[in-house]
Amino acid sequence: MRTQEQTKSDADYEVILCCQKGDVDAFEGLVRKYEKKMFNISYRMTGDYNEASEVVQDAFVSVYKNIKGFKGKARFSTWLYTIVVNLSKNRLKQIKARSFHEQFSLDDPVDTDNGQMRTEPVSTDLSVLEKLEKREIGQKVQTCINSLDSEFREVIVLRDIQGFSYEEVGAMLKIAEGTVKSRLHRAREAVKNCLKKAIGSNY
Amino acid sequence: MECRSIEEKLSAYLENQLSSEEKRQVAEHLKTCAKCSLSLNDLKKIVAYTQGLEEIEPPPWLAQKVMARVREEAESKKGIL
Repeated sequence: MRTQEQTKSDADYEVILCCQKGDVDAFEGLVRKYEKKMFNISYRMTGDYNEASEVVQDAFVSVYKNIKGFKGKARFSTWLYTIVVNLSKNRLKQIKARSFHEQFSLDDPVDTDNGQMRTEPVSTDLSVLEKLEKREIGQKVQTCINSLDSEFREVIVLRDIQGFSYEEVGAMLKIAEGTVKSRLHRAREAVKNCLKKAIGSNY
Repeated sequence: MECRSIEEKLSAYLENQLSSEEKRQVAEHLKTCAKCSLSLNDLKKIVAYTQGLEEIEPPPWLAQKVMARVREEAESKKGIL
């Protein structure tokens, strides 16, 4: 249990007090501060840019509605991230249920950012090639993360991608640190096997 | 110790999360087991790949859209009170 002193040491303590008194501008400061981290957590959890944008909006609105009830038992940022993780998990369930019912066709339009096939000229610039390789590997890693069940996906997103400590991950997911360790091990093994299939033994 | 129980500990070993006794056991095993050493190297690569994933920029309108919804919420509360 955190003491009142610990709560005051929360970097956001003063701003939270203002928000609890109804200061909307103060809340905007929190949104600007945390939107990128919140978005990245949700993007890695859902694997979808548009879904993550929706989830982050819902998460901040939920935070605003409930901020008066925030008692500082956990750090404010931990509370925020817990909310975005939970909403991302729920969204993931909906996405899975939806894709189960939908069929896709080879005649469907190519799924790229602008809906067009990429026609970039071939470049011999090594740094560009390296960047491309890094991006391609990144996409494959994300595809492999997308193939994990949410209980494994969330630990790898929070620990390996976002860099939270085992203790913080445990607090966010409300699971013991030992469980974080064992799920992380299984998640990494699954990503390893998936990448081996996707890239071959030279991954 | 058998390879299977060692492999289960490699993630924690990599991040220095084992007790000193467990750490010593794993290190001893790795000296003589090529298979587990390979697994450790694989694991290092996976962690490096996931840690190396680039941060994604959220859409530029995100904060604005959030605040529009928040202000709407604040106004509707005022209306009730």
